[in-house]
Amino acid sequence: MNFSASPPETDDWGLLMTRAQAGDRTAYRALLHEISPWLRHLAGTRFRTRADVEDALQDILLTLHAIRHTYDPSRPFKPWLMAVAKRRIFDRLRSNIRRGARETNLQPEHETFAGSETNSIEAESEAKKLRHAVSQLPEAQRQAVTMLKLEEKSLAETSAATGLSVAALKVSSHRALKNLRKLLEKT
Amino acid sequence: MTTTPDLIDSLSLDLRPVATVRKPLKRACLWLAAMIAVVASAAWLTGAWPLLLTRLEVTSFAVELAATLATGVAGVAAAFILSLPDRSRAWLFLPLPSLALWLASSGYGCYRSWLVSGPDGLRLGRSADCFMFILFCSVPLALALWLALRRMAAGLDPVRVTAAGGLGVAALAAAALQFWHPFDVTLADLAAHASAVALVCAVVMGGGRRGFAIGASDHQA
Repeated sequence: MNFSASPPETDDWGLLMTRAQAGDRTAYRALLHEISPWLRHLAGTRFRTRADVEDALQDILLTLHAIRHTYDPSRPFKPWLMAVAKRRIFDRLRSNIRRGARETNLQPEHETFAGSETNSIEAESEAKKLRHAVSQLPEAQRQAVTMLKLEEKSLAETSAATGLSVAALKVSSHRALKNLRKLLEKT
Repeated sequence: MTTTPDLIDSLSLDLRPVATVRKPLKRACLWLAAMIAVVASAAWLTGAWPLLLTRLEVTSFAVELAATLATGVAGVAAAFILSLPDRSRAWLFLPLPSLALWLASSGYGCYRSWLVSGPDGLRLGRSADCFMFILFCSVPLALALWLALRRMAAGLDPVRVTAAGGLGVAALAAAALQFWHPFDVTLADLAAHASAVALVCAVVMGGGRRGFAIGASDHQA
């Protein structure tokens, strides 16, 4: 499938989106699961690495979530989805090109000393920033990110330790990462 | 890194009902009606209507004002339509015919002024006042347009939306100027009008990317 290819003929998507606009979580989850493979394929035609493709896909899903109120149920869903996906993919490509033009990957010769101990001051400073940012998070988010991401515990273990449901932990962890990104960007 | 299934779960859990946006043309009409009412009221309060009605008896001036107003209306309507992702991007060209007519009629006015007045037709006149009027009148209009478009998806295509919106706002300000501009346009006036319109477009386009940035605001803690 090339970039201009249309999504598969699935008329139910518009219906699912209309129900999602009314607050139907089941319909929304079904819609996002159904469109993800197609969006992943679309992103795969433009990005090389699996991580870039997943980043692009998640970016599209987040955008779709943020502007879901702009879908008009009286119009077909697919052109709307296609336009959102294409715009987001182009934005990411443009941003990657810009970043590539002003950044250069560090090579071993760029390091004064390759040993990790010589970079300890920088690493310590980064760790300090991260600790400070984590300490600013709300309690539930702090627990979720500390146990799931920093201590690498499983969802079940964290749920047992905190008394929070697995679903709540997933939400808290996702929100915590977004907030951390913002906090660290400020510093 | 959050996996896609995790993200879908979290987006679904976070889902709240949303009201869909009105049809863009309906929103544009409401916005334009409100703005034109404000300007018309200000003109009525300052007693500028009778002079404008007298000047409208001159066909060339009536054509120029109609083209200016049409450019403003078309630019704003195009900005509303373009701020929805699934509408054709060709709507960007909607204000161009009236813009061409506006420039042509203003240019003809300058030429006539030069023919009638000779070198005086190129005088500086009150160009600086016109320039400032268009700039200052555009500020509240641009803010009002930003407020109206904020809930739509303008951030997906900020360049086109702000190009059309900036031109629309500046043209509306230039049309409003005619209430308090009781003299023919000289070449310097035309240059001042065009520079002010270009400056407004540039500023609005420059601020648009940041102003319309899409964030999953309702998905944050």
